[in-house]
Amino acid sequence: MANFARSGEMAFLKADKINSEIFSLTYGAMVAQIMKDYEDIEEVNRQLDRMGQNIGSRLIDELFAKTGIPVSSNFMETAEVIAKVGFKMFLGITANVVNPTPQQYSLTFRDNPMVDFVELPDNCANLRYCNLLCGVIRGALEQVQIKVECHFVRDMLRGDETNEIQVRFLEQVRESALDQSFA
Amino acid sequence: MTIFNFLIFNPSGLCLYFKEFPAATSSKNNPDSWKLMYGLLHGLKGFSQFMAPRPSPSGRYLRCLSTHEYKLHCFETATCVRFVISTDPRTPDLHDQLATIYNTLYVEYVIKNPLYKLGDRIDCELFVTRLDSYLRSLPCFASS
Repeated sequence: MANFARSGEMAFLKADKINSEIFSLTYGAMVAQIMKDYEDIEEVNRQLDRMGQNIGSRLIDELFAKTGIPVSSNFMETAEVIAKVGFKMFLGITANVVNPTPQQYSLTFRDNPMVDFVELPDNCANLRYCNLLCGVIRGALEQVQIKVECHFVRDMLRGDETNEIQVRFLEQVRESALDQSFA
Repeated sequence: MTIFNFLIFNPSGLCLYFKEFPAATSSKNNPDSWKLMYGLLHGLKGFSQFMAPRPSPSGRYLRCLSTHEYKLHCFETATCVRFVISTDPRTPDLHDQLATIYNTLYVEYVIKNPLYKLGDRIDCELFVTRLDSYLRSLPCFASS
């Protein structure tokens, strides 16, 4: 466990960084633009999730390339990697893994550079502002043959005391029938 | 010692990139040979997992396939992208060099290229030129 935290830290130190305010503001501007384009809040959530998925499927390669951590095809092991390496590398924060079981786990975190300066107006109560993160996790795990379902259960923007993303295991995708015959 | 050809396969077996060097006398630049190659790699992966006395902690098994006339060096990423290089049989293991290609060239110039769509054939100019000069700089690359 400790070495995941260390490889996350190392990767974070080596990575190129941008000012976190620029990041928060551009993300905010993007969400605001999507809200204008789609008007429907549920559709906005879906679009954020889809964008995240495309991002995640690329970030995973960078994560493996920069940290050299071994391939983990075990669902429970992915929790620590996402929480301690992924979050640290790409957001500069770490998450905690809560209630890990073979079928699901939760990631909780309090600091989140994405929501600096953000207040949700009343008419956006259903907006999941950081839904992009769910998409990233889903897209990344998809690339290592793990299908998951991922959503926010607690959100500090909506008055909860912490952010919580729940990740639920759906299935392990085999590369093809040939693998199965040898397994 | 020489390099004959270099290939990248995506997880569904599509050849993303193919490069042949002049030393290869019989050309493999056609989709049928790529399919054969992928089929072989796929089968070998299953077989090498099956034969392993204990599970490999890194999740990797296959490193190279050696014959009298050539040697195939393989590297598979966690995302099941396969890098393959075929060389003269006396060439030492190029597993680490393939890992370097993945870490410093594929991720930097292909994955991070916003114009590249995952799963498409690679025609990113930067990647192609950097890869070519990297392969040419390897000690095992010598024009025959």
